Amino acid sequence: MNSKHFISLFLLFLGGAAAQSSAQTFQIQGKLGKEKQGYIFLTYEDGNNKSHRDSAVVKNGVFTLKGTIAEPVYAVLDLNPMVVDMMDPNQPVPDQHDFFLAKDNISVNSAAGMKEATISGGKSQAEFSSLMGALKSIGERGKQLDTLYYAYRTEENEEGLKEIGTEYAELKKKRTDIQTQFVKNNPSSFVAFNIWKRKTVGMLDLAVIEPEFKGFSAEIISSPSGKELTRRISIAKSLDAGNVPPDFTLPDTSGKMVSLSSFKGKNVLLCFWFRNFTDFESYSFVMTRLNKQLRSENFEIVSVFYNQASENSEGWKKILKDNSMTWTNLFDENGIPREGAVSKIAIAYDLNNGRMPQGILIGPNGKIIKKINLAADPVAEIKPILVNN
Amino acid sequence: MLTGLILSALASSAQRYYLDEGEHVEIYPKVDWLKGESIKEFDKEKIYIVELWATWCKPCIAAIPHLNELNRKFKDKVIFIGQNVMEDDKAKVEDFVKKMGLAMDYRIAYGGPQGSDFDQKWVKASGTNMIPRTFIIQNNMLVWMTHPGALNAEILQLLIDKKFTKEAASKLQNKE
Repeated sequence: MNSKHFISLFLLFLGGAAAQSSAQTFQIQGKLGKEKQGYIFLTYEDGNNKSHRDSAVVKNGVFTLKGTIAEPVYAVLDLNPMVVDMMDPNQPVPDQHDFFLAKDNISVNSAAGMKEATISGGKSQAEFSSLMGALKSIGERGKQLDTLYYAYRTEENEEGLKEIGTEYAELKKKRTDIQTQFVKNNPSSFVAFNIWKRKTVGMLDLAVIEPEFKGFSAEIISSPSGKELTRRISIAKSLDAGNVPPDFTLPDTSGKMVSLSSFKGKNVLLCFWFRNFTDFESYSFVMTRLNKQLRSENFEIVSVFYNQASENSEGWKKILKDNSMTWTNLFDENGIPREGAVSKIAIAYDLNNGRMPQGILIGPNGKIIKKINLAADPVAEIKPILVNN
Repeated sequence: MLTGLILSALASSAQRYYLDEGEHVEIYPKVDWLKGESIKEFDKEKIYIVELWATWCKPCIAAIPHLNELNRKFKDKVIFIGQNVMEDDKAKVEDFVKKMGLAMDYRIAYGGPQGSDFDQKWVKASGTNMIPRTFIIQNNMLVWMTHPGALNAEILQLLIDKKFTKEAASKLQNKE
């Protein structure tokens, strides 16, 4: 144990090589039914949100996969995956199995395909299997309810649907309770961290996240995903009330470069947005309402738009025109690709598609007053806290 | 996911309308009138209550008896309109209205699916993504956006007495 620690510390010193050390190697040995031939695919997301897809040949049911991994992650093994046709009701069920991949020797055993396989090896997979075992009956009952739901829906059986609704809610609560207990009882488990981390997908609620994060083991906190969360927490703190938000300069619709700091002296609602999210219509309405009711010498909306792959500034201008968005609109061409933000601004404000649209109210002194929930009633939230000069 | 993107792309291709409390309203969007006298324009001297509903919307259906009763009491002074929205199947709506008969004794119109005139000029324009929703128009102005459960005889009387304000109505409204 001590010598392993010494080696990884040493490699950390060299900067970045730690992830490649042989101590982080995994090996998967598979033994499926002898008639299985083809390819096995391993997919997972690493601690830096990067997708991986490795493959190996399957001959007479036997396969081997090797690689390196910086921390235990959720992974899926898929035997001879087919092209998925969403429209085909007779879509054959994928022959796959999920598990927890870590720097261990992992065995996959089955008399048939991946669906029926038992996967074992390492602490994380043992924890994952145990948790899946505890949730198994809930999953099975859930599937039964799904079948009943479609039957009752067709029959328009209101009573039946109501009962199912109640049972669904009970099952969901049961599942949440089991997961919560698991997380509480296993502070050094990456499986537990993986489940808990779902709370951090949207904007961070520091009051909840910080203390709960601190409860995990040192190994987890210092892992790549632990470090990523630490980074995001520090950004959230930098955007707390009373702080000056990171300044930036971006072009408006006429191409003129505009700085956030140039609005000092006025209240500003800084709004980060993009186009393709589900409730865009409500967002568009709310922003128009805000502008109509609060725009004055003392208040302005400044929006920053993030394009998707196919949108350029012409597409952005059309969206503004179609939605009568007549406030200060700025364009960040760097965008937010799936793998994460590349724009310095998007990184400084911890933006991604799941965390937009979002609003930050800045006072005339250039300091943040409050983060604003654009989904609720922002006029009621903003009006009383505007600073009058 | 992909359908959602396509639909939202289609929705953005038209001019943006804005309908909010305090906004002037004059023209009734183009709809199919299924029951009662059609409306092309709002009359300055009249009071209108436009109720958005759909056959698939259970709370909308549940509110019908309440609206029907208010209509029965106030039909001389207030024009109730059951405006169907967010539905592709017009025949289904007509069938429903027919079956309801006198249980739904106010004017009924069919608005049409996404992208229709009513959808753009009223539903999207008001940021409406949930129904039932109630729109009260007086003096060619949208005075209140609320829900059918909140309406009662006292609030209608406020409108008739030309004493309506949102604050007064909020105090009088039915508590859910």
